[in-house]
Order: sequence, then structure tokens, then C-alpha cells
Amino acid sequence: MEKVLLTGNPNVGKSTIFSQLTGINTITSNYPGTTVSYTKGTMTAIKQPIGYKGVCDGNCGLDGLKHDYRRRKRQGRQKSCRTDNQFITYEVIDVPGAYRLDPTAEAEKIAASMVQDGDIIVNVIDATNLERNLFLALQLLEYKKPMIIALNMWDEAKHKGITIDIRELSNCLGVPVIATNGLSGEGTYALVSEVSNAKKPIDKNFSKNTWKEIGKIIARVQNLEHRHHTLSERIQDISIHPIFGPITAILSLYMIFKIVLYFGELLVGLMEKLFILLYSPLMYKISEWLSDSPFFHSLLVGNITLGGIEYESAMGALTTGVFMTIGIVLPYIFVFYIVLGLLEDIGYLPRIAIIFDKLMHRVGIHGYSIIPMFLALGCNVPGVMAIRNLESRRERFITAVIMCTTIPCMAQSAVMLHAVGANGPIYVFVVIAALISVWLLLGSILGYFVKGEKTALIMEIPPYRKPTMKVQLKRLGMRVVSFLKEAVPYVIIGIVIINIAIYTGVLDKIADLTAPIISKILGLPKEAIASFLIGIVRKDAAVVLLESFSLSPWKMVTAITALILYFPCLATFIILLKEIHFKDTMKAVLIMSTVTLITGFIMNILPEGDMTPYLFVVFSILFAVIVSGLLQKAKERKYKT
Amino acid sequence: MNLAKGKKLIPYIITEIPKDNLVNQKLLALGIYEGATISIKQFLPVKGPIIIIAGTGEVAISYEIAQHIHVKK
Repeated sequence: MEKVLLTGNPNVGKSTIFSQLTGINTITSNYPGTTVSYTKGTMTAIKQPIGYKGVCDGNCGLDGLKHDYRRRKRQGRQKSCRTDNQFITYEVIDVPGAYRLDPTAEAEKIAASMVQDGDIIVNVIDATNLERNLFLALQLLEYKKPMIIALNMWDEAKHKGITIDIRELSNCLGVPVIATNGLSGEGTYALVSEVSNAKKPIDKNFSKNTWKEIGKIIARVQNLEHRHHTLSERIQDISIHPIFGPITAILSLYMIFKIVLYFGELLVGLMEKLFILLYSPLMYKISEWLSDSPFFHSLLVGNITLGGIEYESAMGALTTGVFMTIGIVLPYIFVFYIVLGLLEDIGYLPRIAIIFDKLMHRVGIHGYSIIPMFLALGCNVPGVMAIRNLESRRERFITAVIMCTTIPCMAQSAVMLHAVGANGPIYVFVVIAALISVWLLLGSILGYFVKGEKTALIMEIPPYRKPTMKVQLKRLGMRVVSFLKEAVPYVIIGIVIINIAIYTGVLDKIADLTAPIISKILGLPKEAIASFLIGIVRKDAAVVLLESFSLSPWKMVTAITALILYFPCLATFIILLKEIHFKDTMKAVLIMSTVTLITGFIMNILPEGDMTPYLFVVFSILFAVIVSGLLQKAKERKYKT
Repeated sequence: MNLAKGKKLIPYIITEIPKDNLVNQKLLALGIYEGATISIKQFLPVKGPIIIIAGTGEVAISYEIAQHIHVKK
């Protein structure tokens, strides 16, 4: 099977075209670096002359053409599929975006190595930014492989007053050029048709000065019309304004927090009612069936009474395990992913990266690192995967460590808000203040001590784009399904293992062994080790388990802060091993454990009083700001000398 | 003159970009090369990134890098 590579600069719509060609859903968004690994799919095309205008009836097995078929059908131009068609199947690979083939970032290295193995190259070009995209196109032409240019975002270019002479561009480059629109599917049929007839490029003998060549091509093919600023461009300007930009960014982050909290709580209330109405009768039935075997009863159903099921404390795999993931965590995840999806599609995330670049410099990394951290607020796994776009080992290491230590995923945040918030909002702020302080202090210390290449921000800013409902719903569905697939089984297995450990007395032995750390350093009951053990699998499950120990509000805050800091969940740990390798992962684990013990110990020795949470919030942040400032000054002196 | 000292919305021609391979290659790929015409769109406060217009797109460059990009009117 021949390999078709979809290559191009980051954020030009490769994944959207990939979905059109193969029918496979991929996560797309409006910022560079969404695809960090390659995705494979297959596409069937008809081997026939390029000029053929026949359109399949949607049932002949040609993936990715159905939309084109529907569009033509609406226009009353549908034709039947030819019966003498000769089908040919291709393997289509969505390659991570790259600006050049002499790469620096890990994702670009993957792209460059893949180009060597491809049979046909489809270079997706952003029509609104032709000049910049031609740099990679000219590098790709040097491989002398059959190549087609997909001039994507064609409609957007027209709106911006950019006109491109496609025929002339094709003549200049010596390869076919097809205008496409990844979102509507326009041009997909023509692209498939060209792929099945792809030939080696006509030799054009470009000079070594690539930009000079690009300048000549642009002069021949592109025409720019002057037009006034649109509303979207005015909003873009505000979001990077020296005064309004930071204000907008802080307000946006606050709004995201409020929206997730408000709608999340609303949905949790709804889910609780649904569980009582629809799920409780089933649990009573199962409880009845298992009444003869107390072991399986406590394992699966836990403690339930006829007066009602306390889902959060029953501790059965089917009661607490299912309710916690679907009833508590899913609502928050659902709302967060809607908000994140909108931010991703609009193109606001890169602007947040620019606004916070200076702050990120304090911790020795640059603004782009905030994008993986933002993704980690949903789930740490995509966050860790996104560090692949960072250029140096030092940056990847610092980002991974501070992200995995201090940024709780939405599942964790949801149960944390639920458990700590019950004692009053100030306790939520205590956890947040502790995490911010550790983030700043740890980042500053790592920024000072970790050796390696220091890189600076050089980032393309995508234009604002209107989010489309289709893409939003598809991505939300994928993310929710992926969460359910990962969370429900792990939480159920985790609760079963802990129940078995309690039943067999193994947990008591582990608790005795770890008592000096848990009781003396963190000040928690030695049984709390169960939470830390289950937290290795799922941290949200660990927090729920903590609730069963009836801790005082301050002890609860200490325990939850320690739970967030001490170790990433198993899924994140595995990805961490893949991304920063064994040695750095072990260093990261060591740092996390040390940070947990120090933070937990400080919180443990503080006297429990009414003013303690308020004083902690103020002084922890103040201390972190002062120390990081001093380290910043020391760092500057170090670089000067 | 270095780019960090430039003024907003005035077209500049780049005369020199940093020689450091990593930065050089990245700037080059984003259309910031010697001879290219660019203009500054925005300066962010406290020596934050500088947003420039190169071709039909926008690029954010950190202040430290901008100090090493030389331009003329």
C-alpha cells in the first residue's frame, strides 16, 4: 500500500483534511502543535484520468468523499459511480506540523523522519499565509517525490483580500495545486483524484536562496487587496494589547474557573437526582443478590442502607466507583472541555502564551509552556504529550515537573472542590495558594539549577477563527469517551484492590510500615496510606477515599495538597517515561516526593485555627513571590558573569 | 538599530538576524530573514514579547531575541 503523507506547517488544517480523506476523527484546534504524534488511516481512490468529473454515489467505499457527494446532491449535480472504476487504497498519515525539515522540536523531528519513507506527499498550505508556507514546500520539493499542494483555508484567504493564481502557482512549483477547505470538505474529491495520479515534480532548479525564490513566486501568484480591520481583528488586537491583553487574560481565566464551577455543580446536582432515580433501584437489586456473600457485597456494593445510598462513602466498586466518575467528575470534565474546545478553536491559547511569557521566564521556560499546562488542567496526559513541541530538554523537563507536580487534572479538581469546598471556599483557596506557591518556587529553583539550552519565544500567532459546532461536538465526544474509557475501569479496579487489601489485612501492614511518614510528617491517620496507594492509579478515587476518614478541615486540605503533589497518576507516569525518558522521570519523581514532604510538613506544623487558612493564603504566595524574585535576580547575575 | 528599539507600524527591512543556529532556523522558517520587510504591531509591557507582522502573518518574538535582530527603515 502506498503511503500518502499529509505534511505542512503547524495549524494549517492537516488533521481536518485527514479526517475528510479517511473518515477518522482527530483532535483539531486553532494553535500550532495540536498534532504531536502521527495518525494513520486509509483512503480509497479511483485510478482514472485527472479530468474525470464523475461523483461517487456515497456507497462505493470511497472514504472521505461522502461530504462532497452530499454537497453536490444538494446542488442537484449528483452522478452515479462508474462501475468500471479501478480502486486503489492508500495509507494516509497525518504528520505533525513542521516549519522546516532541519528540525529542532521533537514533533518536527518526527515529521522530518517520516518524509523519507512516504511515497506521495500532500503538502497542506495555509492560503492566508502562502509566503511562510512555501519555505517548507520548497524543502519538500527537494525530495523529488510525487507531491500535491493542498491550498487550504481558501475561503478565509478570499475574505482577507488575498487572491492566489492557482494555475500560476502550480507552474512555478511544478506540482498540482488544489484549493481546499478542510472544514466544509470542498476540494477533497479533486485532491483524492490528484493523489491517485500523482507524478514526480517537474524539475524547477530553484536557487539556494530559498526566500529569494519565494519572493519571486509570491510576486507572480499573490495579490493583496487593502481592506479595513474586521471586528475579529479588532478583538485580536485587544487580546495582545499591553494593558487590556493581561486584563483580558486574567479575566478569561477567572471566567473559565467560574463557568466550570457553576455549570459543573449544576450538572452534579442533576446527576445525583438521576442516580437516585435510575441507578439506586439496580444497586438495591444487586445488594439483594449478593446478600449471601458479604465479601462480594462489600467489594461491589459497599455499605448501603434502605434509607438511601450514600454514593460517596459507600466504597463499593459499583456505587462509589461509578458515581464518582460519572456523577461527580464527568460533569466538571464535560463543562471544562466545552470551554477549552472554544478557546482552542478561536485561537486564544497562543495569545495567553504571549501574555504570560514574562511570568514563565521567571521559572526558566517561555510562554509556549503554558499551553501544555492549560491542556493538563483537563487531563495531564495530553499536557505531557504537548511538551514535545518544546525545543530543549531543559524546557521539557522543567515544564513536565512543574506541570505534573502542581497542576491537578479536572477529575482531581472536581473531587477536590467537592471535598474541600464543603468546609468553606477559603479551604479551596488554601489548596490553590499552596499549588501556586509550589509552582512558582519549584519552577524558579529548577530554572536556576537545571542546566541546558535556554530558548526564547518565537511563535506564530494564528488569526481568530469562528468555532464550528461540528468540530466542537466531535472533539467533545472524543474527549468524553476517552475519559470514560480510561477513568471508569481504573477507578473500579482501584476500589476493588483497596477493598481486598482492607479485607485481607494487607492495608494494615502497609499502613504500619508507612506510619512514620504519613502520621509524623504529614500528620494524617496512618490509614490514609490507602488514599496515596489508590492515588497512583487514579487521584480522584484517592480524594473520595480520604473523605471516609472524617478529617478536620485543615487536615483534609493538607492531605489533598499532598495527594496532588506526590506522584502523577499511572497514565501520566507512563507518558512521562515516554516523553522525558527514564532518568529524567526518576528525577521528577524524586523532586515530587521531596516537594510533597516539605509542603505537607509545613502545613502539618501550622496550628489549626480560624485564621490559619487566611494567613496561609497570603503568606505562602508572598513567600513564593519574594523567593522567586531573589532567584530571578541571582539568575540574571549568573548569566551576566 | 535593533528591533526592540523600533517603533510601531513603521516598515523595517531586516539587516541582521541572530547567528545562533536554533534561533536562526526558526526565524527563517517564519519568514524573518535578512532582507525581509516587517513591521512592529505591538510591544508587551516589562520587556515582554514583541509582535511583528511578517508577510501576511503575525509572529511573537521575545524581547531578548528582538534585541539581536537589526533593522533599518
